[in-house]
Amino acid sequence: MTSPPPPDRTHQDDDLDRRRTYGAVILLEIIVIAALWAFSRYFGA
Amino acid sequence: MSLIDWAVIGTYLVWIVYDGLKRTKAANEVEGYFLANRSLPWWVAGLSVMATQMSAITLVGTTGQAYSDGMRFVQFYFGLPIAMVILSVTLVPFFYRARVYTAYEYLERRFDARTRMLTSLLFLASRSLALGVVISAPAVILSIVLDWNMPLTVLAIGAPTAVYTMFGGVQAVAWTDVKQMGVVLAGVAAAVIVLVTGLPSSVSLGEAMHIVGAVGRLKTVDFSFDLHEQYTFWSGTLAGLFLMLSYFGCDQSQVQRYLTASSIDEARSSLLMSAYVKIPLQALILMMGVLVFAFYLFTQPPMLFNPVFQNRLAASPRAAEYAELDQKFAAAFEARRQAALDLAGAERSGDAYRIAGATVKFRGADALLKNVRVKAASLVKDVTGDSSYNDVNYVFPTFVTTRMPVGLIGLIIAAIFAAAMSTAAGEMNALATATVIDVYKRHLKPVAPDAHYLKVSKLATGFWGLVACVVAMYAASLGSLIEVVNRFGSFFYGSLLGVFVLAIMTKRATGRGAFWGLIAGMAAVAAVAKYTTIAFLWHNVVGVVVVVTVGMIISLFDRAKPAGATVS
Repeated sequence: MTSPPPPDRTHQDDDLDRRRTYGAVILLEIIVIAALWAFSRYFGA
Repeated sequence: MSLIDWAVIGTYLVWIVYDGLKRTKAANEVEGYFLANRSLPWWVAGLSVMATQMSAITLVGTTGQAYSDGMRFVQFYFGLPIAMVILSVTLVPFFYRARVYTAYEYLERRFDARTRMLTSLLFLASRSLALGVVISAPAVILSIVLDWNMPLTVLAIGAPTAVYTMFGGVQAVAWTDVKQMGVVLAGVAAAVIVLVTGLPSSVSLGEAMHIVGAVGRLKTVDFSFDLHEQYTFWSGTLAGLFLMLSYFGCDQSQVQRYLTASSIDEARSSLLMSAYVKIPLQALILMMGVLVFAFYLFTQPPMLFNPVFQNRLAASPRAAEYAELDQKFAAAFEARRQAALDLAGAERSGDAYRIAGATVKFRGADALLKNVRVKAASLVKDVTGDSSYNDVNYVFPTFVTTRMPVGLIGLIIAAIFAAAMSTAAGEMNALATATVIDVYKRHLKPVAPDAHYLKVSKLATGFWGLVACVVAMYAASLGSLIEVVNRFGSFFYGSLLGVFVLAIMTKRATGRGAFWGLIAGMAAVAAVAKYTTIAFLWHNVVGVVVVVTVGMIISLFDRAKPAGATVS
């Protein structure tokens, strides 16, 4: 028995993927800045 | 420098020129020559974006800045990831679908020919000068530190770059950028390893970090809001956002990189690569400067890092004063070295009281050493009459040439060459594109076979390569030219972004509004730069706001009918 083919990707799927990517960029930036801040606080104190 | 180092540099140059020239076949028509037939994978376009942005000035200058001032400069890039997301949503799909060669080409479709011409000419003027500086700055430093002939150093960087860019077009630029980024990263990794292993065996990396942190070298995030402070969280995130939007969205040397990608999504991904990587990479480069500082806590550095000025002082009538300062410097260094070792010992003990005492003692010793260096710099200024003397750019090359092992010296110099060449190649390619597409084809010869335009494109690339070398030699003898170039760039960037905001975000804006808005924006930035002490990053915000405001007011009173498409 074969599994049914995956449904075609829609425009909305692509949009959602892109939004996730942009969210990941901003989240990563926040993490990097927080890490830099923590690093300088730890060693500069 | 040893034969092995020369061999490394020679191998790098031959490899890059060969790799660039291999792409000549793919550049047999104008679209292939300037846009790689829109066929490049995202990671190639992405590395090309990064390599074009990271010049030798970034590699050498910011390392020196971190040595003397710490890692605060990293905040300059805080707006970059946000800018990349905004550009991915707005300008990237817009440019890509418009199937333009240059960003300014779109402005004619939306506004008029004179707005396109003005923006393109401003780009040509500012980028051609900047291109000269991109080559000149590392050439001056390398020629002084290694005692090389200056014109030959300029030619060693400029000529191979012009050759492979001229014959291979954007394909050569992009694929050599990939290799050049690899060489730069290898150089950075080698330097970090040598620096970390070069610390005394009695001092761990963590203790060294505590020591350099005690004198502010690890201060990275400053949340104070001060318009006059160059690098803060707010200037980097808000004002820096405008600069990055303008540089990556409106500067042809960057726009052309992602227009070579094979689809809109690939173009987006190429920009987002910088969004993920740029801040950590810049932090690593700055950390290299901090590690050089840590290294020179235990190994005596020269009092002046620029050997030319050292020699001039030693041969001047005030040589005795210089020798006396040198002795004081040696004594101050020894006191600081001991204080640093004491602080490391205190850190190991974990005794808070002892750490506090050792920290105060180390800060005092560091201030004394700094004071001697300030006096030495003041002596240089008196003797040479050079009031802008500053040797931070010589710190990293001096470390490399005097402290790195044989072979790695060649690698790091090849990395400096690579950083300069990758930026210069992208700029030569972009200058040629704007010259041929916005000026030659638009105004001088609108109808001709593709082969004719291809030939003119190659000649234009060669011409800009030649201009770059001439400007680089001229810039070397005029230190202030670098400042002029930077200032000119800052007048241009914010205002240019303002024109694109008018173009894509509003339907009402007209060509007349955009044209006079751009003039008003540049005038406003010039006035702010002349009459206020507001940090230059904020000039970009001023430019955007004035262009959009003036442009909209003029457009509202303009009888001309707005045309073209907008994002909204």
